[in-house]
Amino acid sequence: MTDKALHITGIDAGYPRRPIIRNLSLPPMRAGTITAMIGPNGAGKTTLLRALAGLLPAKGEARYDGRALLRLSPGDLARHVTYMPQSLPQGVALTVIESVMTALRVSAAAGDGPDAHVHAQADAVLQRLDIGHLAFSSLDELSGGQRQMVSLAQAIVRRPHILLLDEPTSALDPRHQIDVMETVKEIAAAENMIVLAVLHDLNLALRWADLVVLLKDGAMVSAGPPEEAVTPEILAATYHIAARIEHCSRGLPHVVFDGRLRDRTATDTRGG
Amino acid sequence: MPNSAPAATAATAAAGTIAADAVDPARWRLYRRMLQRRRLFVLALAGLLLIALVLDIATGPAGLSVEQTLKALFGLDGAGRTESLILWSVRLPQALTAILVGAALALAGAEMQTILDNPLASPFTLGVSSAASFGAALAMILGAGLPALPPVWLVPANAFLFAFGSVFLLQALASRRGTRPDRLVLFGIAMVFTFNALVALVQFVASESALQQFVFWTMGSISRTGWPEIAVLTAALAVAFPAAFRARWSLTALRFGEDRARSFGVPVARLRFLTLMRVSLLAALAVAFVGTIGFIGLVGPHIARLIVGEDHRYFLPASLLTGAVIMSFASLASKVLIPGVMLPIGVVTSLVGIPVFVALILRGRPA
Ligand SMILES: Nc1ncnc2c1ncn2[C@@H]1O[C@H](COP(=O)(O)OP(=O)(O)O)[C@@H](O)[C@H]1O
Ligand SMILES: [Mg+2]
Repeated sequence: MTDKALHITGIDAGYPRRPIIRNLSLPPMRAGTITAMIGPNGAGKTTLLRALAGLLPAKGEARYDGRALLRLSPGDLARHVTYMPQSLPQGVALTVIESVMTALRVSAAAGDGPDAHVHAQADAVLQRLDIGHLAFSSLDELSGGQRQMVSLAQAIVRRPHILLLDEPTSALDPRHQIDVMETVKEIAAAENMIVLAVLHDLNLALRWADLVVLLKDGAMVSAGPPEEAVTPEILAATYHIAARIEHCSRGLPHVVFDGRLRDRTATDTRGG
Repeated sequence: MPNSAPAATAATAAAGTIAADAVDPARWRLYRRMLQRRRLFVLALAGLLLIALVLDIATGPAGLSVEQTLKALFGLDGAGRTESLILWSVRLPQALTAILVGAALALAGAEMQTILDNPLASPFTLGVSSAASFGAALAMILGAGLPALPPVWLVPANAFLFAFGSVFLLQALASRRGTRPDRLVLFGIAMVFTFNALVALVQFVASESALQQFVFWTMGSISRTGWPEIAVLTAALAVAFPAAFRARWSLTALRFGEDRARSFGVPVARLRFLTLMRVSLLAALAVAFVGTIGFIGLVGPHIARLIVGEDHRYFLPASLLTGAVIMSFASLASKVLIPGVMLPIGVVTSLVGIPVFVALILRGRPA
């Protein structure tokens, strides 16, 4: 059974003299599933991912497979967790294949392996993400969306147990958004990976996430299966927007936005 | 069964994993070709360096022929005593100093640019050279320096002390939590101005002859160094380069940003610290022995980046070699530009290097 799960309990994280996440506990994230983290700008989503990746000091418990992640050494943590930041820096004179291979090479485990093996793994991920044709392009000649795909490839190629994705689809066209969600879901299932992805597109979250977590002001507003965690009432309370959840002809849920809420305290948005 | 491996691959791929058990031969060949091209560029640089070295030691006011030079170099029959003396005590030390200093400054610049994430970082732009100048000025003009040193070592020792100190200051700042690399670069620039002002202050009170000596020092010269300095520089490079090369994957990963590198398991703070140690050693020694040579630490890495990219397996050696090649040709040019006059190499370096540099910037992208 896939009983390895990520349990987050009572996490505090933030910046010097600036606590952001306070005493946050989330439902367990199971291996092989995708958890979508949504929430307004500045809610603390990136802060939480960085804390889980060991990039920020954090208190509390993040338990995975009997390990207290927050107390692992950086080297050990890197064996289990990979964090994909929101952006890839500009001005890097490396090709796509070099970039993805570096993500593997830099770890002691793969660092000394034969080049051919590392290349094969990187190549497989590029093919899988359908960016094989970009292998020898320089990062600087890629579009924003293509760079995002490379960034994702760097994270996936490490085959972490826990994959933290910070807005992996923000720069992608619709076809690639679907590609990425589809591929990540397949890989998560096949590799028994725990995926925690920050998404802004509520429809992507509804469609592909097994679990949705809504964060606001460093605290959890709701969490659960997509249609329980994302309701018009909750959207009104957190985003101050009037929205409906409609089911399409195939029965899939979609968020339809009606506009801004004038009265910031209103929660009933279904009007007529 | 010959077919079992590919079949297994297909099966796992179908199940959705990303395991890669088989190499696609065509794409692997393409990748190999890219690496071979990079290796070839590094080898070409090494070849160019050899050519520059031979031309450099075969050139000089004494007018030895290439044949005489080579005979003297390899101690063959027919090599005159004068020729040997000129070669072994003048030309070879100068030529080797040029190469070693170019290599040290360019390697230091390459590593600095990576760890500070700034293409404008170099020993010169971050105040290391200015600090060294100030140390040299104190020694030359005020006679202030470490006691108990033979006078010939007073200036380089003082220059080294200040150069090393300046990188140490940078280092202290870097190890403070939350200091971002761009702040370090600004701090380095502040150091440039501070030390330049201090140098001006010392110059203001200098006697005319001390002032002249100092101005000559700041122009950079490779005629002051002999075999002991060469041995020191060689030893420093022999320690620093392998250490840098061992960190090649971490340095390459750092190009993707600190968060990503740390998430890949790179101990970024320690990497920065150790790299700055290497950089301070190389830059401080080079500047201490030959004076201010500003351009190499900035341009060597740039040219290397344009021709081999930033895979540090190739970027580090290519930077080192590019610096050495430029300095070697500058040494040659300093002897032939105006016949009978040996121009200060720091000046020539800029005059020779800048056109090449600008041409490359206008053309370039990695091969
Ligand atoms: N380096 C930092 N130092 C101080 N405060 C920060 C830093 N980065 C982010 N913050 C603050 O933390 C809060 C949460 O930010 P973040 O986690 O990036 O939000 P988001 O949910 O949009 O990803 C914001 O108020 C932001 O201003
Ligand atoms: Mg964010």
